[in-house]
Amino acid sequence: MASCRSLWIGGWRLGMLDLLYLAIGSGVLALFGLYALGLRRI
Amino acid sequence: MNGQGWAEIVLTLAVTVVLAWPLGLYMARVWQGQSTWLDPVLRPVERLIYAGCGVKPDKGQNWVAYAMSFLAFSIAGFVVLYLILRFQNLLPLNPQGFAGLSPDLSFNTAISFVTNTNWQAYVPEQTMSTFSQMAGLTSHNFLSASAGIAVAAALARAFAANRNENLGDFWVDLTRISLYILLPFSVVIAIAYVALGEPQSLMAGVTAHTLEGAKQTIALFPTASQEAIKQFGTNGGGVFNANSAHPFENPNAVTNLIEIVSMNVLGYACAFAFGRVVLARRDGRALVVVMALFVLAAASAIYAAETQPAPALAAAHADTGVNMEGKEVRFGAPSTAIWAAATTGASDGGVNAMHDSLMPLGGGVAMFMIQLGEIVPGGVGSGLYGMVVLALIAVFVAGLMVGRTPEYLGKKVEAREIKYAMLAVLILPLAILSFSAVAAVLPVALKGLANSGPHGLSEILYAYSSATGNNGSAFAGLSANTPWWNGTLGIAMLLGRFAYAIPVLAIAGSMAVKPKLGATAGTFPTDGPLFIGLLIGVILIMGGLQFFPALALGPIVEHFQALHAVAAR
Repeated sequence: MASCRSLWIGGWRLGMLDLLYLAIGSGVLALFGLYALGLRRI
Repeated sequence: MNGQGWAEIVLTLAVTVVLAWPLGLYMARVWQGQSTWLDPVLRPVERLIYAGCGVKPDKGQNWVAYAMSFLAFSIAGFVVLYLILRFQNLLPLNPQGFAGLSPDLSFNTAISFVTNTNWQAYVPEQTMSTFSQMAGLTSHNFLSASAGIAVAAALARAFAANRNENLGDFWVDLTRISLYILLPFSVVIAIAYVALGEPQSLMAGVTAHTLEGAKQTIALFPTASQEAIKQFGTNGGGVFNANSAHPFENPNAVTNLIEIVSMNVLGYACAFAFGRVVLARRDGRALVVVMALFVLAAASAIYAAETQPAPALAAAHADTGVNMEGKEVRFGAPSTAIWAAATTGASDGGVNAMHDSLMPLGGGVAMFMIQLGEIVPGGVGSGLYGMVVLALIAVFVAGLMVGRTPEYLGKKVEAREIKYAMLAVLILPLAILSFSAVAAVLPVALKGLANSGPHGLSEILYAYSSATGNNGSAFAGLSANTPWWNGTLGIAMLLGRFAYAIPVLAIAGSMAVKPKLGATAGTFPTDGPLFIGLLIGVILIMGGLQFFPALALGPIVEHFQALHAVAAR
């Protein structure tokens, strides 16, 4: 039971880490889009 | 040092520049959508891609649309590559049975290949499946290189335009550059590599029996095809950990020459193509001269440094004539020197020797070449647009001296373009020095260092310079496969690529809508020796001012320590 629980927690953490890294990478790239829009004001 | 060594350096550089000229003329035709001798074969494929992807090749984009397409393409590439690497154990062509990469390593590697950096925080032959190598990494070697060249093409068209905001279409540029430039030349180079002894195999490896009777597994990959685009697209990521010092990636002097030439030839060709498109061929050639002079100076300095007595060799009472630590005997000091200058000047990052083992000044020069902004001749496309940004700053400085509005290639350079240019160039010191300063005091970062003192600082500084400059080479001695290094180096790569390219596209947008002016008696000529000297000065002062204090604490102080150690014997 304990091993099932740790597996589930491990899997959940793994998934969250993946989402975190995907969000950071895509988010930073998306921010560059906002940066481009901001540069138009110069 | 000897005459043969100097001749090797000069001839390698000369061959590269001479071959770049016809390639640049051909590239200009591709950038302008003109017909080429490959049209009968590739035009139907090109049309099919446009039809399949819904691209309207004649529509065109302004700079914001162009930048958004570039970013959207990069986001998609990052997500897909992340998933491939993360779940390579579930995908085909994994004869080695490798597990999926960890999240932080997948993050770092996906960004690394999307940004044309190819920083590798892993041992490729023990980590990457054949599928990941081919479908994940090699495909991005083509696409990230094409994206960089596309930005340069858009900038060239902007300078050629007359009150027209159309920079061309990013998707068309990406397709044409991949199809007409990178693919055909890479195929030819790959076949040459196979003929010269590089393996091209889908097998996991072969088992050999050593003289002692032990069994040894020798890894095999589609090495030749990866090696071709690795250098031609200034990617630099190898299929073996030793990169081009490995005999499968770079077996002999001929492959070594082809690799050096191919890692720089597109950089120079972009400048020739730029001159052709803008109808200012002499100005394009002036940029080539500046690029080549920097590579020649750097290679000479590294060659001179590597033929000075090394303290460790002196202590071992070995021959101190040449520092052969970390070098391949089949290449020697001159080939290592021209390679190190070419790879760090070009954002390639492939190595045929270990840069950590270069003499302090040799390693310092290599690092300085990266810190100049990867513009001599720079990465494919990115080298040209980085050089044009500095050319704008140079004419701006000249304009300030004489109190006249500066012009470059028939376009007035005003406050807006200089603001964009400064935003681009300042991202390098901001990212490199800020990250290095934090890493130099943070225990979680310092755990990855194999050395302390000035050499340890050099390893940190080199890592962030390499990542931000999208170079990808590494000082050995840094264990970078940790969440800290994978995360921060990934962010540094993104900043170095996009925080530079976006302002460049803004410059392109600003230039494109300006009228094209004819030269007058008061126009500062940007195709002669005075401009070449001014541009060299601007590049050196910018690089020197930004990074000299940090270099003084790393390779320069280490150089004096080495002198002291040798003198004490």
